[in-house]
This record gives sequence, C-alpha cells and structure tokens, in this order.
Amino acid sequence: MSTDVAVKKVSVTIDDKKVEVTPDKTVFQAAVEAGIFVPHYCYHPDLSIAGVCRMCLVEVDNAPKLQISCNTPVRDGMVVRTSSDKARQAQKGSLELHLINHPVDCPICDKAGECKLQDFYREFGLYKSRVELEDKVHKPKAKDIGTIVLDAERCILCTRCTRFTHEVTHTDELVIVNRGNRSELKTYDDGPLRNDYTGNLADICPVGALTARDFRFQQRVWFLEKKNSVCTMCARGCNTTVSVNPKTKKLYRVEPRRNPEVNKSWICDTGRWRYHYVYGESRLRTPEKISDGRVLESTWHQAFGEMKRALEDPSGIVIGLSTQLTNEEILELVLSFKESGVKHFVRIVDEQVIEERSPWDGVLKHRDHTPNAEGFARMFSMMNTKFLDCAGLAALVGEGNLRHAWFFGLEGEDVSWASRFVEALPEGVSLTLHATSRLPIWERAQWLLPAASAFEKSGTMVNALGRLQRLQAAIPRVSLARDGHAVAFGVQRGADRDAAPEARHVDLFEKLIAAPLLGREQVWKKLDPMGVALKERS
Amino acid sequence: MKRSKYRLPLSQRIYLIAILKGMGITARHFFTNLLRPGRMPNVGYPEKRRNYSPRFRGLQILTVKPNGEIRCTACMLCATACPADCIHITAAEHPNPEVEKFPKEFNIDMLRCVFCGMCEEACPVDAIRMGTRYELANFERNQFIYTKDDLMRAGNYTQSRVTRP
Amino acid sequence: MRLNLGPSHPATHGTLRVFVELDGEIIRNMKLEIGYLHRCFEKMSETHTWNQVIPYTDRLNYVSAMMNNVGYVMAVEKLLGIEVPKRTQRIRVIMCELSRIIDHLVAIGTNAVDVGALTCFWYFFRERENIYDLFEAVCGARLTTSFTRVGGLYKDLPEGWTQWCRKVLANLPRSLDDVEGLLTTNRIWIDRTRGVAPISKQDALDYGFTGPCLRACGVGYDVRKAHPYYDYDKFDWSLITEEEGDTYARYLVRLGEMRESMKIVEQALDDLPDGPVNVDDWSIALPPKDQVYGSIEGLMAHFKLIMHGIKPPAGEVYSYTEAANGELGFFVVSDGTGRPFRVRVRPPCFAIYQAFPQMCQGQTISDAIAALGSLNIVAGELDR
Repeated sequence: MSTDVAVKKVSVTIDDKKVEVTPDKTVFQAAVEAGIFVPHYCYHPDLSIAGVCRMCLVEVDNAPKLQISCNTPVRDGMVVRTSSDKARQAQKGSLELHLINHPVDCPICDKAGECKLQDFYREFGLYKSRVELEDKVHKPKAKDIGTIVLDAERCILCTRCTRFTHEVTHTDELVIVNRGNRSELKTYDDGPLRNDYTGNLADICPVGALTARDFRFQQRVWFLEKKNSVCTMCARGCNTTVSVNPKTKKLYRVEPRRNPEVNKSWICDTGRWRYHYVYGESRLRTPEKISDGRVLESTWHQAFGEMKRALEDPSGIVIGLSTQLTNEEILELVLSFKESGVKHFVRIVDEQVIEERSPWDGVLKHRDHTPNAEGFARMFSMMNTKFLDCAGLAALVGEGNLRHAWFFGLEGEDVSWASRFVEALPEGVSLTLHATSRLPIWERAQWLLPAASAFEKSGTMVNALGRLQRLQAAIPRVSLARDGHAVAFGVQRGADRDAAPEARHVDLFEKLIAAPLLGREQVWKKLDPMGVALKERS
Repeated sequence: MKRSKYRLPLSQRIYLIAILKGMGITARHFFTNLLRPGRMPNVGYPEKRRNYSPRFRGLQILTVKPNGEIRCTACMLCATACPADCIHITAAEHPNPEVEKFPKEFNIDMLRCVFCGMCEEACPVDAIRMGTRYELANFERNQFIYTKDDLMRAGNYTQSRVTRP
Repeated sequence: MRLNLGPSHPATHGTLRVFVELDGEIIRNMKLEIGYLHRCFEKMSETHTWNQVIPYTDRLNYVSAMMNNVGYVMAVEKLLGIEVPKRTQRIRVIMCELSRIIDHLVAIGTNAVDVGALTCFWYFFRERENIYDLFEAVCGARLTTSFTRVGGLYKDLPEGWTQWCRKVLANLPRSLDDVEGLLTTNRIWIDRTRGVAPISKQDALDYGFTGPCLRACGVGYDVRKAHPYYDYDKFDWSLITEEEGDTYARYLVRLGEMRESMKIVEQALDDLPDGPVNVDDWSIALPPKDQVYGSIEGLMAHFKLIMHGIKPPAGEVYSYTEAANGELGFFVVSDGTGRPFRVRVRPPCFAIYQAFPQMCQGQTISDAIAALGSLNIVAGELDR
C-alpha cells in the first residue's frame, strides 16, 4: 500500500518535441530531458540558479520577450522554441556581448579546446567582430591564487565560481568587485584560495579565467583522450575521467565525472592532483631485494622463485592485503594462497575509520584513505577466511612461528595508516612488500615488488556508501609494475616464464563476484559507469 | 591483335622531306642556342640558382620579436595542423607576465616534413613561416631534427605581419 | 621465354611490374603486378582531418597535382553542400587545365623517349618548367602544390600572375608545333606507333576506359562535356577524338587536347571576376589573417577549425572530374566527426592498365614499351 502521492507530470513541447516533466523543473531541465542542447554559461546542475549570463534565452509560448530557460518554471502545455530565428539571434547577441572585452588569448590559454566561448561561437555565433582591439577594457592577468591561476580579463562573470565557494565549500573566497565593464573577479583578500576543492573551480569555469596550475601548459586538451575511472585516494570513490595522451600514453590530469549519488560534479584536490606518484621519483620500477642494507635490482623471476620456495612451509607465512586492492585482486590472492596452504591473512587498513559513512568535512572527504574497505568486508563470506587486524598480527608474531610476511597492494605515498602493521613485525620476519612507491616506512622490507597503480589496473571496488564502482586502466603499466593478478599467477608457478593472462578481472568479476554482491548476473562491459548501489550489509 | 596494315603516302615513304623538316627544327634550336646562349632555359646550378617567388615553401623560420625573443607562444596549432606529425613542442612559463607562454623546445623533424606550409597557415601569431632554404642534405639522420635555435637563426630579419604588438 | 620487366625499369613509368611470356620477341601473354607504390593514401586519410588530406592528394597523380587537389575538395564541398565563389571556380579551372597540359607534356615526352626520340622530351620539359614557375608563384611549390582548401584556395593569385600566364601560353604552341613537326609525319614514329597496341571501341568501354585513351578509340566521352562542372559548358572548346585506338591515335588526342586546354585557360583568364577566394563561412574556411590577429572571434574560429577541423554531416558522396588520364573519382564517406570515415579514389589508370595485356597480345616487346608510355600510367595514381 503506497502512501506517497504520485506527482502529476506536466507536458511541455520543446522544438516540436513533447516531454513530460515534474512541475518543479525549469524549461532548461525539460530541454535537457528532451535531449535538446541550449547554450548556457551560468547554469550548473549542482549549483544554484543565477540567471546572469543570458545565453539560454528561448521563446516561450507567445510572450513578446524571450525568457531565460534556466529560471522559467514549466507549465502544462507550454510551447518552447530554442532554435527559432529570434532565439538564435538573441543567443548570438548575448555571446557577442560576452566577447566584447575578451582578450585575444587563445594561443596562451589552457582552456582552448574545451572553451565554451569557442564552442558556442562555432555553433551559435559566426558573426563578424565589431570591436577594435584597442577599445577593449583591460584587467589583471594571470594572478596566482594558490593552486589556481586567475585571469580576470578572460572572466565572463558567470558567477559559477563565486557560487561554488559560497554553496559547496562555504568559504566565500571568490567575489566580483566593481560594476559594469569594470567588474572583476578576485579573491576577497587578494590572497590564495584556502579550501580543499579548488580544482573544481577550473572545471566549472567555462572559459580560461580559472585554470589549474598543475596542468598549466602541460598539454593541449585536444591531444588528450578521456577514460572513465574512479578515484582511489579515499573511501568516497568519486567518479573520475582520466586524460591520457594516446601517443605518449602518459597521464596528464584527473577530472571529476558527474555522479549525483557519489560526488555530484566535484572531487577534492587530493584525488585530483595526487596522481604524480605514478611517475614520481619514488615510484618502484623494478623488483628490489634488500640484503645487508644494500638495495639490489632484481627480477620477478627471482622473487617468484623465492616466494614459491617459502610456500613449502605455509604455516610460517602471513599474507597482508591492503584495502587498496580491487575486489578481484583480493579474491584471487586469497584463493590462490589458500590453495597453497597459507592460513594467516591480515587486512591492512585503519580499523577505526572504516565504518564512517559520511565525509568528515561535510563535502566529500572520508577519513579512510583506502577505497575498498567496504568491498573487502562484503567479500568475507566469499573468501571464508578469518582476517586478522593489527592486534591479531601482533599476537601471531608472539606465537613465534612467523618467518615471512607478504603485504600486497600498498599504493601511493600516503600510507601512514599501514605503518602499524609493518612495525608489528619483528626483525626475524622477512617482509615482502608489493607497493607502488619506495617510502621510508618500508625501510625494513627485504623485498620491494613494484605494484601497478590504480591508473594501470582494472577491477571493481565498493565505496563507503556501499556502491560498486568500476576502475579502468588508463595507462600501460609503468616499467615492470604488476597488479595482484599477475603476482598471484607468478607465485603459483614460482617462475616468470609465462605471461600472466590479461583481463583476469573480467573473468573473476563475472564468475565469482557479480552474483554474490549484486544478487544477479552482470557482464563486466555492461556494468553501469555510474556504479551500482548495493543493499545494506547484513 | 594483328597490327593493321597502313600504307604511308609516297612523300612520307621517301622520307627525305620529313628528314629535312625535322632537321630544320632541331637546327633552328641548335643555332639559337649557339648564337644566343643566354636564352637557354638551363640554370647552371650550383653557380647560378633559380629565383623563387616570395611564396616559396622552404625550411621553416621561427620569427623573432624586436627584442630578440621568439615570437612563438607554444599554442601548438602548427603541431596540430601538420599532416606529417613532425613538429614537437614543449611549452613553458615565460618570466615576463605580458608574454606568459613560450616554447621551451621546438623541434621539427625534417625527414618527415613535406613542406606543405600548413604550419604557417595555422599559426595565429605569425611565428612560423616557410623560408627560402631548400638545400638540406646531411650525413647524419639525427642532424635532421631542427631545434628552436636552428629555426630561429633565419628569423632575425622578419617584419611582423601581425597588426598588434 | 619468361621475362620480368621489373619494378625498377627506366621504361616503366613508376614502379610497375610486367611479367611477359615471350616467343622470340612476340608477346604471348602478360601478367601485371601493381602495388609497388602503394602508400596507404586511403588509410592515412582516415586519421587526418579533411584539410590535412590535401597534401596526400598531391601525391596521387604527382604529374598533375592540382587536379587531385581540386577533385578531392570538390567531393568534400559536395558533401558540405556549399558552393565556392566564382573566382575560386575560375582559378581552379585554370589550374586544372594547366595541370592537364603538363600531364600531357610528360605523357608524350616520355613516350617519345621510350621510342628513342629524346629531343621532344627536352622541348616539352622546357614548357613544363615555365608552367612550374607559374605554380610556384601561386602556391610556393612546383610539384606538391596543396593549393586548394575545402571552401576555397590556399591563397589568391599574386599580382601580375595572369599576364605571366598569358605569356607562357603564348610560348607554348611553338613547342607543340616543333614536336608535331618532328613526330606526327615522321615515318619512324608512325612505324613505331601506328597499329601498336590497338583496342577496339567496345573493349575500351567494357574495360572502363575514360580520358584520352577512350577518346582515341572514337568514343566522345569527357566528364567536362557530359557532366559539366565549374562552367566547362560555357567555355568554347571541342573534344578531340581519333578512330583507330592505337598508340598513334592516343598521341594525337593528347596533342590536340593540349591546344584545347590552352583555349580554356585563355577564356578563363579573360573572365576572372574579382572577389574573395574562400567561402564566407568561418566554420569551413579559415578566417582572413587580419581577423585572426585582430579579433577574438576570428581567432576562436581559426582555433576551432585547426583543432577540430571541418565537420561535414554524416553521409557519402561520389564526385568525379576529368583528370588528365580520365575520370578521377573521389568517394568520400563522412561520419560527422572531423575526420573522413573513408576516402576512396577511383584512379583512371587502373581501368586502363588492366587492358594492357590484351592490347599487347601478338606484339613485340618494343611495341609494348611504346604502348605503355602512351597509356600514361602514373604509378602514384594507380597504387595510391
């Protein structure tokens, strides 16, 4: 027996297309549902309505003046024309007014290629300029405000950024001062931005007024291809697109992908700009054996051989799995080592923070800096294994039979939460670490095996909100890095003679993980790019 | 297929008149060249060179501003427009805030370049032009990668066509 | 005896392989092999923008590069549904006819060289140099011109070009007369080319011949007359046809066509209107440089065109022109992105070359060489 009142939908005709929407929508949103694109600058689905840019002007019914579609509520039987001569003329006029003082900066502006002024000019403009260069009003250029470069001359005063700092980060740093053609965007104290979400300003700015300093002059946007993935810097799992140059196969930037359920259109600066560890100095590129304090470059063949020999006595081995591994990697490693007879497994994570379901800063960031603690927990029943925590590891050490500790999947440079597990191991236990970066806290390890970073591997992860999301490899593996699947394959064989099969994650996901987690069959390729919400954990 | 039989008229079969006519033509050329050697179409390369038009598409020139700096702002349109994918540019921040962007590296691989002129057409600041050099033979393959300095060498005496500074 | 007229041979124009079965000197059978100059033009055009394909089209029939440029951009313009300004049309006609002249100069010149008449080659190539100088003045390159762009031209004609062109055309007939005097009534030439490698009218039509080789068989088909484009029906010129379909007939047709092309160029030069050479749509043709340097709108349009290219609507079109060897067709398929989905070239030489074995049956090797020259097989066009 349903008690909610069915909301009566209204019917709107836009460009001869009939569409049914709820009465709280605006004409713009109805056009989006009808698949019709209306040019706009100040509208953003995750910010309040401003109505300042005057680009989304459309003809509504028989009203003599054009209306801005972003702030006109729908009415039943409304007839809207977005591409009539009158509407196009008005859109062209608005565009021309936006451009009268715009500097001739395209060669030096990073936004070229994804600039809404360029795109709308080609589609809706194509008029000839009526302004001389010397008549343009000048404003301060290229001001460094921390992680962002602000160029006030290029700003078209759409107020997306001021609304962002007001509504999303609640820091109110960006303001527009003065009036008329002297209006200027600046930080209220001319100082740097001081919030953790500054990178989003470069995304929402439709022109090159706010650009990211990390990406400044690195690449031209049209040389890059985008791939969908998921951020792995905390348990939120914000959806991302990763921009890669297909010729050099290098990663150049990470941007948020809109997912209303997880991260809206935002991502924190950590998730956006911490990817540099992938190519950084500390990145492990070859297996390294440390003996007598000396680091020797070694091979996977030798590492696999030694590990296979150690497996002859599996009772002295403890396997540590980080919650930065994908579901498929965890499952494969656990099943593979269980088959070899290993009995002791440790889950490497900061126990105190993994049950938190909402961000500690009220926006996006979770205290758990690992992306897959929830996925790990949900797979307990599949793996049928008891996982020790840090105290359990200490107890195991206390029993005295431990000789090897193999920890897998430690990623990135922000892994202080894992140090307790490393410190719990005494001198006599040989530590093999499968990690992406060489860090001081790994100093006591005897073997350092290069791990594939989150950008180089594919798999699924479940975020703190219980959402199953898909990670997709965007770049080829750096140097000799290998993911969990390749390591499990190699250790089983004890040698590096055969190449590990690619795309193991597809098989594992479709055969072993999809049904228990989702309750149904699921083809990897067809997995929803926005992720799937899982039921509450029982 | 069989060759068709064809009988030439007598005058041609005798062939005398045709020989004289033909020799007259070649003799005319012979004596013209003998008596007026300047009219011959040969160009005595390498002592003499052809005069090419101002539009000749030779080795590229990176133009230079009056203060000696490169005019290029590393917008990479030339690298985009090039059909042979032979231009490789790395951009960098220029210390002068009025300039902002300039190329740290600007390499053209002459072994790939087809001298089509699309880079010159694509440049929005008149920074690259097709110059007049066409004698580019070399002994080493790596000598064909022309760097920023190589290309700027001829750029000193270029007047700007840009209407603004 | 089996003989291989291998790919590297001074008498095979371009890299062609002809495998002949000889009985003494008589050819019994011939197998042709092409593809030695295949440079994947059609595949390369799939990964470049529409305008970036133009330098590749130069290298198709490299002897008359302008005609390939014009043929290709005509196809893209047909796909876009735009018409170029009148001045552009006239200039393209002038360039095409000059290219036709130089192509025929090469065809007859090299044909004569194969037979042994070296002098004619030099006389003709001197005229070629003059026309090359004209091309170089207008676009900066002699051979690989890349002169046209979608929606217009690379640049307008420079000052004084039309007078210079007229001067060159005034000098051209003297060379044509000289060579005609040396060859046409020459018994040696007639013995070497009369009745050599003939093909009947029906066979020529069956094989798909077009161009001078077809007109030498008596079929008066020319794309410029049958499906006129760029006002070819308004110019006063006539088709040259011969009846026998042998090498001598092909030689006569080419010689006559050069004179007709000169007439067309003269008429086009007389009727050259003023005006822009590019279409006025900044989403197709690049804006003029003063707008690019001096206004944000021009700069943005310029950037969009170079970054993302022209975006013709999805569709396919077959556009054909009369190139020097016959009907040069471009079948272009667009999928709505800035790159062609498929560009297929119909090379006129392809249809002609496949008839070569039949034409040389029962003839001698020396006849085959003379015939090959008269067919004007350009390997760049044949293999793409």
